[in-house]
Amino acid sequence: MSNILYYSTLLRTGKISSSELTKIYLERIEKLNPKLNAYIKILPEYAIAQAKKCDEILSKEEKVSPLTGVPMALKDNLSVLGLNTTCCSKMLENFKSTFTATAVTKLFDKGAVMLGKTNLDEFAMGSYCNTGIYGPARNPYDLGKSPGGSSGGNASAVSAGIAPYTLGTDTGGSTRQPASYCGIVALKPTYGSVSRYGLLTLASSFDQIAPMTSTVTDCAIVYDAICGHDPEDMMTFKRNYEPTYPKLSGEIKGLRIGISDDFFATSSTETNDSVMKAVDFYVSKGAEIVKVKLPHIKYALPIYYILGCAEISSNFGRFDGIRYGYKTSLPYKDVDDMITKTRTEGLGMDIKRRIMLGIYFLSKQNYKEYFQKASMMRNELIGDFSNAFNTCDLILSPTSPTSAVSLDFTPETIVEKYYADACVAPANLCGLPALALPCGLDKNGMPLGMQLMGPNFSEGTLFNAGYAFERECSPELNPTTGVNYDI
Amino acid sequence: MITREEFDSIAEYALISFSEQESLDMMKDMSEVINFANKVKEAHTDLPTYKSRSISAEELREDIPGECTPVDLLLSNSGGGEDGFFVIKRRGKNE
Repeated sequence: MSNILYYSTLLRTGKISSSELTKIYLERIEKLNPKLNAYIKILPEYAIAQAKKCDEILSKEEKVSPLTGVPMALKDNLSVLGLNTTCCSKMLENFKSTFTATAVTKLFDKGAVMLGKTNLDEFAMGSYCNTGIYGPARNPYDLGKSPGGSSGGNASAVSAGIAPYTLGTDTGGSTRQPASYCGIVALKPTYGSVSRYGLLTLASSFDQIAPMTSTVTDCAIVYDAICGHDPEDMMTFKRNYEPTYPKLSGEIKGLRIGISDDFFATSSTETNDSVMKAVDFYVSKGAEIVKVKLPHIKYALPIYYILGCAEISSNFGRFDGIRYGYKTSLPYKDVDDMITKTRTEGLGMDIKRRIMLGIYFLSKQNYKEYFQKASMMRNELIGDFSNAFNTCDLILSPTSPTSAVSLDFTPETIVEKYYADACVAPANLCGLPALALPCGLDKNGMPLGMQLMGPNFSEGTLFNAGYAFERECSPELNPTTGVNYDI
Repeated sequence: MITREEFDSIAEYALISFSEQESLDMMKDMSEVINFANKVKEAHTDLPTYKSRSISAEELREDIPGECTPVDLLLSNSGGGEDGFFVIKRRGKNE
């Protein structure tokens, strides 16, 4: 059931006001957030003021967006004018945004009510939501487990019922992996379909703002609201963005679903079995399974880390303590010394590692064999997917190799952590849309997720396939720390 | 394996300093990642075989200059600035 439509119906028929609904959510957050740490900033006055405006609109207008009056939350790397946008980093702890992100403005224009800002890994770099300065977020299914990252706060909030929907950001799987860990839905849109203006950038050619919701229908509603060309983001495409929500039918007869063995090689048996049950479902409904080959997929992770680190090191040059952000309070002898001390004190070790690696890969002696090579390989991988989509409409894979890991999980090597991104990073590399949704539970009752990837601007196909599965096969999801959406 | 000399040079470019233990840990991590990244060297890409679709100029925004952000807004996160400039105050050892 769509929570957005459920609440929208209650609001439009006057059974509840937006102010009342918002207060209910604020009470839930007060009760559950101390256990989950999903929110790092709760904004009751801001939310109630917005909700009151929505109540005025709802009392006067007959035709309103389904989003009018419905509360939501934002990842704290999305700018909202006048509010702190910290990216959970000491570097931006007191930074006040001077404008609002376009995607957020679009939601506000439709009457969305913002409850607060959610927890993330520092600067959205990480897979477990445990590197930010406000402490780790927790998984509502097991408080000793990670909600995933970097949009762990978002996933935790939606899963626990303390946010009907959220906006996260996805650079290398940062909405889909937490969606898999927490049993919710997330869409990484086609690169260029949602404006990045106002997203505090990590890696410019990978970043996308992404809806995270409890159902596929909700995801389609939110995507329809935020997509579109924006003059402020030169990489957004001018095209006719057909609404996807009205076309959800669940009809998938004849749909060609591609399967690549490479995506299953790194996943657990439980995950693979769960995803294969989804394959069986699709076949039973008349879809056709097609084996696809992606010859360069084995290079996807190294390519992602070379190019990602290179872009990060370039983008993070802006954090120098001069124009904004943290500035050292230690004595310094000159500007360079001031900047060095500021960056050393203000940035976490994960960030520093990627900056250092980026500079290594971009240095004169290494540029050709790493950055240039990875850029060419990226192009080859785009070609692999393009060829695959000549024979299939979408590709099905696991989202994450396993269910949620423990909060104190420490990989033996730094690289071991990267393999968690094996299924999700390719979509960012190639700019492709990818939808993650829950497909089962492991033996401990933790959610498992599957991913549908499609060609550029195929969000409608992905949503329809996801909707078909969800309405008949959605696993029974009961987080131990959470509330129902019913009110 | 990244050498100490390479590491120190990169840290200088990055404008980040590390303690001795941090340097050793970071060098170990970086070496692991570089080793992982070396996988791309296995691939043959003398000439790319796939030509990405070209993006029509119609699909991207026109190059129209917009209004500049007001100076006071730009300075608002830096402590106000001085005469429209960002300021880095002297803060030497004797101050």
